[in-house]
Amino acid sequence: MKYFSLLFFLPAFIFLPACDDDLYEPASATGLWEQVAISEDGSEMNLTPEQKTVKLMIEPNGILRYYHSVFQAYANGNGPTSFYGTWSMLDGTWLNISTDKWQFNPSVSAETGKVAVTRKPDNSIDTLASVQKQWAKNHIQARFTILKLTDQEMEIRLKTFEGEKRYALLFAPHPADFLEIKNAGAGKDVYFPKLVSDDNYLTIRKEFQTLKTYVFRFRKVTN
Amino acid sequence: MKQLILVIVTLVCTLEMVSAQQRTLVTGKVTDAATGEELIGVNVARKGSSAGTITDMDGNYTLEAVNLQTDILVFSYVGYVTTEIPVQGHRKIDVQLKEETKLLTELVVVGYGAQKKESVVGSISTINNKALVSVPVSNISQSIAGKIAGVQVVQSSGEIGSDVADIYIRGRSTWNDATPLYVVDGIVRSEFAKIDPNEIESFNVLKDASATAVYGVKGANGVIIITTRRGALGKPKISATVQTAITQPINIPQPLGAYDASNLAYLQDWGQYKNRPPQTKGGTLAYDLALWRTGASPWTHSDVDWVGSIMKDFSTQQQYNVNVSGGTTNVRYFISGGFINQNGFYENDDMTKYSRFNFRNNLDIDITNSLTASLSIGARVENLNSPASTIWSSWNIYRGAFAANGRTNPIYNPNGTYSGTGGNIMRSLRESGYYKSVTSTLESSLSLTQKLDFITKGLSAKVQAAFDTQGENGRSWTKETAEYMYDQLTNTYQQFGENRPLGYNGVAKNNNWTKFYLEGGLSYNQNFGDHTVTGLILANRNEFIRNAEVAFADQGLVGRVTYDYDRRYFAEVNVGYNGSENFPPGLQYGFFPAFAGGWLISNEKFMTESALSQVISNLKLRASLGWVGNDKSNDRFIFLQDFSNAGGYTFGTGNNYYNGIRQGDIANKVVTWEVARKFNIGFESEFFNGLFGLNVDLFGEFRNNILTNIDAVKPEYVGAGFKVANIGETSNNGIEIELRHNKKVNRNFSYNIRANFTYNRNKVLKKADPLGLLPYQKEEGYPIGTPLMYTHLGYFNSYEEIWNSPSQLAVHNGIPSNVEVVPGDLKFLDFNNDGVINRDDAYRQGYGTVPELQYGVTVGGNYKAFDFSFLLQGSAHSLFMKQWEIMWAFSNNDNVFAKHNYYWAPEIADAAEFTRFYGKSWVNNERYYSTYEAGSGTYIRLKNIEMGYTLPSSISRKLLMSSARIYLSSNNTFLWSVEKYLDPDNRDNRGGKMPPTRAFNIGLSVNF
Repeated sequence: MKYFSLLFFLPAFIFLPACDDDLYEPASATGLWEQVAISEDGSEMNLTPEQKTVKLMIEPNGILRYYHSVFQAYANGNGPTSFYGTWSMLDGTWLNISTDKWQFNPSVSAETGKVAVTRKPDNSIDTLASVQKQWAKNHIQARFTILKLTDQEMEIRLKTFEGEKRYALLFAPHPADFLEIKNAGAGKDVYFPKLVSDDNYLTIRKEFQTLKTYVFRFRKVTN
Repeated sequence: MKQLILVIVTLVCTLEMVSAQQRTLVTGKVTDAATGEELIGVNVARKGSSAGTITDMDGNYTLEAVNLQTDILVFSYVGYVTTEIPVQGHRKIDVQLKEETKLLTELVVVGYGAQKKESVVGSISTINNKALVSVPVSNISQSIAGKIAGVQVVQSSGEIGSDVADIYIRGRSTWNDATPLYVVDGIVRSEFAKIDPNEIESFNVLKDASATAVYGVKGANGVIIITTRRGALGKPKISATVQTAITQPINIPQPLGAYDASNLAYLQDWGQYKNRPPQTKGGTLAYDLALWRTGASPWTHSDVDWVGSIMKDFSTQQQYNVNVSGGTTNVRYFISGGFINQNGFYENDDMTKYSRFNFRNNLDIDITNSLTASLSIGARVENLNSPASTIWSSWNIYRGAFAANGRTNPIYNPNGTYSGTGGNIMRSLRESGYYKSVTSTLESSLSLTQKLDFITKGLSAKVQAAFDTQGENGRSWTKETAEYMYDQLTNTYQQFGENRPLGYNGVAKNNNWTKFYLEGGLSYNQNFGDHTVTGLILANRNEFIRNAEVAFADQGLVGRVTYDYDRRYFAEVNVGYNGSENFPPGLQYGFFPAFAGGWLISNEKFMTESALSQVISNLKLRASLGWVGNDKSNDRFIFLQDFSNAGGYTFGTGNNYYNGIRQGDIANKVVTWEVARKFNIGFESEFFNGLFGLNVDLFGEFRNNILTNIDAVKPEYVGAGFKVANIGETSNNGIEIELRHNKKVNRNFSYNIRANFTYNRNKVLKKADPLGLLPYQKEEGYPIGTPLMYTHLGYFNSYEEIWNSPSQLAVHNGIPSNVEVVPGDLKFLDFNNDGVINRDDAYRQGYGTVPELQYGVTVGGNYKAFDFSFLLQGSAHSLFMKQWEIMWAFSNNDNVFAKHNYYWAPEIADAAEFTRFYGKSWVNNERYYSTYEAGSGTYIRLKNIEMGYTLPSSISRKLLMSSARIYLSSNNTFLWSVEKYLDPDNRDNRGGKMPPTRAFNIGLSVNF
């Protein structure tokens, strides 16, 4: 009988599937989180006062709201302070967050090597028209690795190109990287990345080619 | 007178009393000589008398009225050598019966006949119907994978009614049709797979030239011979089998949900506005994404799982068979009726069904002592019902579902109408009408065999005629149903398409063929002391008429002479001389000889008289060399010049336009068949009286005259095309190994293990490779079908890596020159190390689609009334290309799967399964034909598993049955494969074919 039993269970032994458990449950990510610190390639980043006020509200229905005051001073002090996107978790390992991002896409003259800008009739630069051509706005997801997720703390890592982080709405961009759009009109964004000129073109281009690793640390405020 | 009677009676009584004194009871026990196990039901009888008894449960017997002085007892038992023992005064006789060595009596089916197994010198593998009947599949082509050495099986579709697997014998040696020849009951037939396995006696695979030369111009790809069951002398034996199975397709692509698909679409720069619902134009992207994420607006931001909506989790299948066999001394019969029913895999679809009735009647009549007539009739009727939208295949529904966009509109509108603008798959599935086809097939033959012993002993003549016909008639009834787009803001509907009622749409398929076959010949079989000679000569003619086409015809002569000396030395010559109408007059006939020899070493005295015979119970060496042909070609009458109506000219005044006639491709006036020169050398062995067995065959083939397209090598100044020419050459070499182990541990437990392994590698020696190809890009020198590919090294992970790698911008074959390579793009090997990735870096690599390596391991066992078996089967060294829907995201509609969700991003570069999405056009450097698209055909399957229980005979007899067995079995039970997302046999490069199925089955088999 022992032989028979052996034969019977042999296929099961051979094909016993490996079991993988997800590391983190989506439910443990929900709640209001307050940003504590950001590091860039292992070094603590110096943040402006506006950047330090970031909060994330991760809602169970997949909506993510985030709050910061970077653009609060725009529109005569009525600039937006809350934004939203969506979130999801992949394999209990990665946190996907969708946010507005600006893609660096200026045209450069093949003959002169000058960055194209739009000019007004008086030959001055039409900043609004120029930046709208130089930057393409997308709402796309960024994928973070969850390093730590407890009832109190969340630590997530994003390895990306420096420009991908710098010109994203999430986690509060640096005020110097954006400019205010005056008279944008109802329902339009009052902020946009800065004008690309011959002076900063190579610098910004380099930002989109340089990989950096960012670690974001949060403290839970409420569930 | 009274006194005389009294004297006679007294005398008789006296004699009887004397006789009775010498007759008495004899008892004893019968056991197995090898195991000592008691044998139950052994026939014990006095020789020359019909009176006898059988052994009881303990192997004991008691035989009455035995003459102790003169009687001889005969002990007979199925599977054991019949033993005779003179009584010689013994009242107790214990007997040990030896198992019959099958080698001496077992017949093996060969081309146009049968031979004793020990005298077979060709390479032939056989399985019986036990290996086929309890496997829950719809056709037997799916049952043989892993069971026969040298046979490669690829089942590329699981679509009901169209799920016959491709079979190759010892791989393929031609780029033309490499399918074997199918022979059923001695007649070449176009298919075998749909024969009810309960009708089959044996399934034989003829592999080397010695075995297939008799089929001459058709034998190069190997031959599969199926012999159906026939009746035998005895009372009627009735067998019935009932089985029902749950079936499910394996590895269906699972599209991402609307939210994930939208995320990926957003990541692609072109995808931002793709398929955005019209109601939300002007809204923000974040707003749309939030609606898909939350499901808050199902009418405007739907999330339809089309695959889940149209596909069932499982379907069902039933199989039934009843057969009866038996016979008198003059008439023997086998009659079988079978039925299989398969239900489709579409949800809410009560139309898709396949059923098949099988019927067979095999009758053998001894008209005189020397004349036997054999009538064989096999018939089947197939019914296939399906939605009208799947008349030709399930492509539009099944493939359409996994590529469909589930984000733009729901299946149904709020008012119950179908939502969409014309592409709603559910509507197409359920509201397109229906299709019904009936395919009737008749395969019949009548043969007369006359013994001609009055001319010379052992001579016989046989004539045979066969008539086969098949008719397929498919008709459709179609209707049209409109779809509507719902505007939630205005609560209005916009109609797309028309509503038209169901109506007869005519005949969609109407195919018929008829086949006539005639054969006549002489065979001879005689022993002259130690010499045994057999011979065969026959002539045959075959005619196959398909629809209204000119008949396909072939005819020829077959010859065979075999000789064996003292059951030790064997020689055989087989020849086929036959021709085909497909070749030009004067070049139609070919002569195909094969020579083989064998040496049965185990019958040598130095073996039989030594202790070696206790170890080596059978050892035979054999070798063969021969030539066989392959007359299959894609086009007929290649030797005829064809012309077509094309173009024209204006002639004379006015607009008088006259149609012109254009010469087609230039005819090949000397077209002929492919010729395969094959050799085979091998040995068969058994050790310890069958405890272990090992067979090994080494084989090789050189094939030339392969029809090849030569347009690629014709000079540019030649304005016309050429028809194919016999210029191709290949080689194919390999090895087959079969291992067997049988062990009867005790009376309750026995087990057996059978393993087979086949490896073969073919190589293109000559083919019309286009001029200008680099040596490593030619097909010559590589296995048939080896793709020309770039090697994918992974993904670029940084700009630094791109800057330090060979330039891929210079490539003009696949990448638009203005597309910059960025991190996350595919990185390719600079094969020629010139610093630039261009077409010179593609090279032949990998494997063809037919696996080079196949193996199977069957383990079986019996414990008391229980039995158990499983088959592990696998293959390696093959690949298939994955393109379009199954490979590239958004390449055709909204096809994105789990693997696309693991797209490259710097943060998850190590776990990436797909290229970057961000900022990418779908036409990018992924358009290379590279190893990135290659799917591996390497897999191991738990192909079958079966557990059975046979009722005790005491119970089955009470139920008026001689035996009854209930069993659980499954097919394609478990799969481990390198390819994660497709069944590796599912070779459609777009993944559009319904995959093979997994089945779990319960069955009952009873015999009366």
